[in-house]
Amino acid sequence: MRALVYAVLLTVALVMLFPFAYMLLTAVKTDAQLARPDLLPAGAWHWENFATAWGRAPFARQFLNSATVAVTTAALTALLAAMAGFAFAKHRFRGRGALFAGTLATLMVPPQVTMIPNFLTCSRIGLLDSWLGLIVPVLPLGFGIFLMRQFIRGVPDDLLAAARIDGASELRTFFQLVLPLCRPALLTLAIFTFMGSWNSFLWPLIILDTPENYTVPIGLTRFSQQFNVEQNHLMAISLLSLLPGLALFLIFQRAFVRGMTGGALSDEG
Amino acid sequence: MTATHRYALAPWLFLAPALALIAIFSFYPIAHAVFMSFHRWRILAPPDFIALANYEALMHSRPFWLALRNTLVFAFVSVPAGLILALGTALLLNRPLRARGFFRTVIYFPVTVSMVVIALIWSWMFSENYGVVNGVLQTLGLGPRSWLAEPVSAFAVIIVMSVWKGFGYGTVIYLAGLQTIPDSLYEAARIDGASRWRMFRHITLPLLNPTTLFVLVTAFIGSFQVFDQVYVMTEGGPGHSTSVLVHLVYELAYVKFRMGLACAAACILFVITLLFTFLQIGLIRPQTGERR
Repeated sequence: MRALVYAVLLTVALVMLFPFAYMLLTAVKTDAQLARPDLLPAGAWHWENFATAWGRAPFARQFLNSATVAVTTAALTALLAAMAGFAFAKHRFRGRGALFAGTLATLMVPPQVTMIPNFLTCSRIGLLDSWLGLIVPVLPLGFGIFLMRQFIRGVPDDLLAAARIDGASELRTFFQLVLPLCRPALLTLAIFTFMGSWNSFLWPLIILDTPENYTVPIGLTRFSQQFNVEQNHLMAISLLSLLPGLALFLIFQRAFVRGMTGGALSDEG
Repeated sequence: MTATHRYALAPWLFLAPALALIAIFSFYPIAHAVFMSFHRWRILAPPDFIALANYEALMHSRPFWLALRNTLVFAFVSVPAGLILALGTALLLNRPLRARGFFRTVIYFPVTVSMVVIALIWSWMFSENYGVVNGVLQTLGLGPRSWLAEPVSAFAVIIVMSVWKGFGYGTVIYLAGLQTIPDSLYEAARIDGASRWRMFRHITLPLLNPTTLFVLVTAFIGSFQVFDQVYVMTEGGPGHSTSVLVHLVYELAYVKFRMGLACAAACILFVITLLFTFLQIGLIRPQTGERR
């Protein structure tokens, strides 16, 4: 029984890993070897393909775009969601329930529905083909506010009351007391938002125009659509594009898992 | 906590930026999309009110029905397949194993990778002349196939790839769900002489209902939004044979510049998504509610 379990799991693991291995094996093949369906490169592994591929399109610029956009999106989402989550969790005011329900309702709206009107809005206020346009309209605030509110509800009221009695302003209470306590939730939210932004495709596809402004997924797609592109170069860049996510994933696995299960098992409130 | 005068304004200041963005980029565009769906609108010319004519045009358009059919096929094949794989792998991993963390990581990893990259790898694996799949078939003496150029096999590859990429999400959710089931229940059942299958059927599955609901709803919503892999692997072709609703919306809006028609298609997608979400919540919630 145990052996069977391991056999099944090993098979699954192989199936999950194979495409990535194939990507690496393809990336280090010579152009000539690409015309044969062999799995392994014959002879030496040509690591210089990575450098050659890197020079064939403005990839340095595109990686920088993706990184800037993803980091900004993550930071902005974390901050705005924590602020709103704090208000929903620890303040009483008129319309709180309705506003929170409205915030949650945005989770049910497919982004494809808002995409065309948002495209028109961006074109009206000059955000097309820009970093701001890649960031501001698509902050995952519904998810973020929900996550932060759930977390901040767990902060003891006495702690906040003590800070207020000491004469701390609400702003100070938020930045010096609430935010530091929320570090795990903020980290989870920031990582998820970073990955979502780094991998996002449809919105960048419709608002970006110039290759210098492309994010990595758009740059890769356009690169793959050129008629003279060899697969070894395409796979080399694809592989490089995985590295930031892979690093984040390996370092912050626990935050990943917490973030996902936080959404699934949250009706305890 | 009392809302004394001093704090009355505070929540609104904290809420203002997020709520303003949600209003501008989530709520207003829904209304705008519905409004535009009643107009003929080709970007440059001013919009022209035509009532339901866009919806009518879609009802008579073959690409729309193909895209709708493909979206439903995609959802009804990939969601159950992913659910079963997720539950299966979670059950295998929910026991003291060596390298448990490794297996979980490997199964979950593709979820974190961009669909574009996955689609590029799989396109190359299934490429007609030099792909590894045809290479293997060749050594077995089977002829090469043009996987991505034929409607049925192209869509099958897209579905298999999407399931492969996505099911690890469900695995992790199910693992967390399994850990909330108290061991005492299984012990009691064991004392009563219950078989493994009966325990699975009468303890594990029912207690996983909320988890299943969550996985199902998110997976269905996600599958209605399928786009990236179709765009990268087939661009909806050959013909419209592998097109899906979001691809149709994209094509209408940004290839043909028929914004009104595209918004009508998007609104239909929205309604379908809502319908499925409420249907599933309605189907599963009552069962979980009784037991609590």
